[in-house]
Amino acid sequence: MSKSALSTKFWTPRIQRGIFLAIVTLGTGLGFVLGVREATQTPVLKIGEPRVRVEGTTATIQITVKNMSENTIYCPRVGIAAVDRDGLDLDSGVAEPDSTDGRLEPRASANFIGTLTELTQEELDEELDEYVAFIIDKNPCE
Amino acid sequence: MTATEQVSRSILSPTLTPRPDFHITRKLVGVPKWPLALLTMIYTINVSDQYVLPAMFPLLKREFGLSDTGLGVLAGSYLISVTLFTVPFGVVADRFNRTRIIAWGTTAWGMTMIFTGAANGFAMLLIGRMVLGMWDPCDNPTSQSLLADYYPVNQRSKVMGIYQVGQLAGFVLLPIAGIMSQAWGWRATFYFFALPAFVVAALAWRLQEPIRGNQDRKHQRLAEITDEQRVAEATPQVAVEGFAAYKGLFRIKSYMAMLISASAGSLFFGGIGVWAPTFLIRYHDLSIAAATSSIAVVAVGGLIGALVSGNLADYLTQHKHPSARITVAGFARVLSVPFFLIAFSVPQISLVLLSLAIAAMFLVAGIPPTNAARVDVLHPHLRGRGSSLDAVCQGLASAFAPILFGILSDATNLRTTFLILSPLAAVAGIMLLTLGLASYSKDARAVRDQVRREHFASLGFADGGAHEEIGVAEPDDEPTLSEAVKAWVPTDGAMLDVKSLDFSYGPIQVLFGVDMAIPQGGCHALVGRNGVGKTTLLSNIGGLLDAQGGQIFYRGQDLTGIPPDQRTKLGITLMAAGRSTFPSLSVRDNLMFGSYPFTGSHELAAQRLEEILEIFAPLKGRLDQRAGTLSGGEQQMVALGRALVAGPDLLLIDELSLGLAPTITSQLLDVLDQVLEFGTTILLVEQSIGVALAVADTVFFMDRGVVEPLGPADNLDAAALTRRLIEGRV
Repeated sequence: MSKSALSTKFWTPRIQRGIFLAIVTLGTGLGFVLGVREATQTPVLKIGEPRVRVEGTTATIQITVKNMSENTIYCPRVGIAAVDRDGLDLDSGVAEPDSTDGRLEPRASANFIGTLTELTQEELDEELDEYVAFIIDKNPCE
Repeated sequence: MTATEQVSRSILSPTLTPRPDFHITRKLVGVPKWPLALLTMIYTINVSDQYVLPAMFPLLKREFGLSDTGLGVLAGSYLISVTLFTVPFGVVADRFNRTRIIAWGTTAWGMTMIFTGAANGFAMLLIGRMVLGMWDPCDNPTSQSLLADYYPVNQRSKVMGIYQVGQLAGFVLLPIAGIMSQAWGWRATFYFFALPAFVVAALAWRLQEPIRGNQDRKHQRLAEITDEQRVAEATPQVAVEGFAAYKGLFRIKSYMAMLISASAGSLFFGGIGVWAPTFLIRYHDLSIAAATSSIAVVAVGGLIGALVSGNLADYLTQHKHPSARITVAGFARVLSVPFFLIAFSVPQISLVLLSLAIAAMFLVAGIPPTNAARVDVLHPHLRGRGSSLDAVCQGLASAFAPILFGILSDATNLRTTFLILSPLAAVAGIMLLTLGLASYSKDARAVRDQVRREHFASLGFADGGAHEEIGVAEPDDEPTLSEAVKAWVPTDGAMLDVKSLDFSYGPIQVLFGVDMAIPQGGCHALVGRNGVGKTTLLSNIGGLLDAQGGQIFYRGQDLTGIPPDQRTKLGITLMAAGRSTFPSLSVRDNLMFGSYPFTGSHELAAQRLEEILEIFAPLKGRLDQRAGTLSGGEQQMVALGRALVAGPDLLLIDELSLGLAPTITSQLLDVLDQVLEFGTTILLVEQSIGVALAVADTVFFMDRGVVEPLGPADNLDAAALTRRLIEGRV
């Protein structure tokens, strides 16, 4: 049997439709399940809205981080950044624990503070979109 | 009593029916609207990934520790992938089943979105991004080719305008993606964005694959195709295979004009899109958030432009401006320039935004007519490749635009750059108005001729096969129409003029290029066997069905797209076959339904009801009885009475005598005589030759979807006509 005859025999409209429907069903199910799972997942470390004070071209950013876990102690590394409209960094840095040693007990919160000093006036006026804070490393404490 | 006296005395006269000016709306006619809605939705979903990823950049960056270079590579890889795959997908769109390409492509797009959502590092993200870029071009060129074959040629601009909304709607998804990613994370956003893709893909699978060039073939008027000399005149054949196809594309002057125009437009708009927020911040002291959201006015302007220009171009095309698509697109682009210049020059921010919105409206207004015109001048087997080449040129222009604007801005300043480059939009318009306009009609006609020749060849006709192809009988050796009939058939000033009407129920064609002209006044009978298309023709005239090809003129007014309720207001009333009453309503309510065209004139409605009861005396004592409980003859009286309450100028009656006793039929025919004296013109569909000849002044004969005028009823031999009816000859 020639190759084309073989492909015609097996690649019938019915088989095509069957495969198509299987993929569509799989995709729909997969997308829905993964989406719901992701949406309902609570992050272990919850990061609050950045509080910003700008003096000249220096921005000081304070954020609150809360340990949502029941039994793990974390010593997180927290990053801060000023980003433009495209999500690209204008300046970034690391925020340090405000008054604690950075150990976050289960269900506890702590403040972190950092400064951004590399911003220019033009970036502040024309490019800066927002200040963001993020967890660089969750870092469970020893 | 003379007819004039009767007219002046009868309250049922059509001349006494109020016909206030009303807004004539035209709806999209032809095949069902859902393919257009679906393809527009797919367009929106397909472009959404362009906006979703940038919204995710900050989150991706933090999660994977990506540098800005890494993000740039992700964005760039997508563009490279789109550019690389656009041309091959154009070839695929021209060779394979397009609905399947879209269904498979959209499914693959959805799966790739899920894959991207599951990425565990930069490599997976990069692969996901590149594969997404691969599927992106499987939609747009294919959809444009499909739309050209789904919808009538004379509505192409309107269809392209609605389709264009799909792209603009994609912008709306950007803030939605932002909100979703903030609430549920970037992975969930990718997963949820994939879901609608599977739904629309499954629906796309169910779309019917139209025959390529189907609408172009239908668009050819009978008058054109009988001109054998012109049809046979050899316009150069366009190659549709291999590299010769691309060479052929570049030889189509109007296509090249559109390609250059679209690229120039994209070069300008691409730069404006990126730099406009900076312009507003720098020169008008807006905050970044305000400047970014202000750009939304541009999208609104564009949306209006896309929808209006498509309608306008189609309207003008149908009203003796065959190159209107090019003209509208060209002028729209040129007209955008002064508004851009105002926007970039004046200090008042409100005036800036208003001017920007108007300028964007004009600039975007050029897109749908251009897309329609491009399809017009491309052979149906080249439309995928033609559209894909256009997409590549526009994509490259858009990618280069921000760089060009940046370089010029560094050399001068941003305002000067905007002012210097604004004439690019004028260049785009002038290119259309010169080279495009000079060659468009010729190129479009050449395509239609080639489509027709190919179709004849496929049917085995060397030439002149047009008659069989559209279902019109070949002329016999002896002329079909006598001189008397020729003198009778109105050529100018017909009250109702049906031209080349084609109608299909799905794949089954019922009307084949029907031509029929009816003068004002008198009764005109359309006779024919069961199932030859009489009711279908009447329903098309009444607006209950939408023809796929041809036109119907009523008092010189093209009825295309005018819905049935408005046709009633124009004076056309259809009395459907069978017992067309509302059986659960009273006789009074049934009759009063006829006063719809002049709702509000209660006195006139009451007077007409009274007059109807004088004519149909048996109904007098049954006004409160349910219509469904009346005898067949009485129900037919109610149906005819209802039609007469409307005061029709043209009364369409379908099978008046169907299922009625001869005495009842005779009574109804007497009523028709009265109606004629009111000044109403009647088109009566009948199977009974006796009934037709008894009341009609002229007779048309219909068989197998074709109508032939037979002439004055007095000249016809009832026996010969009956024999012909049985034999079914046109």
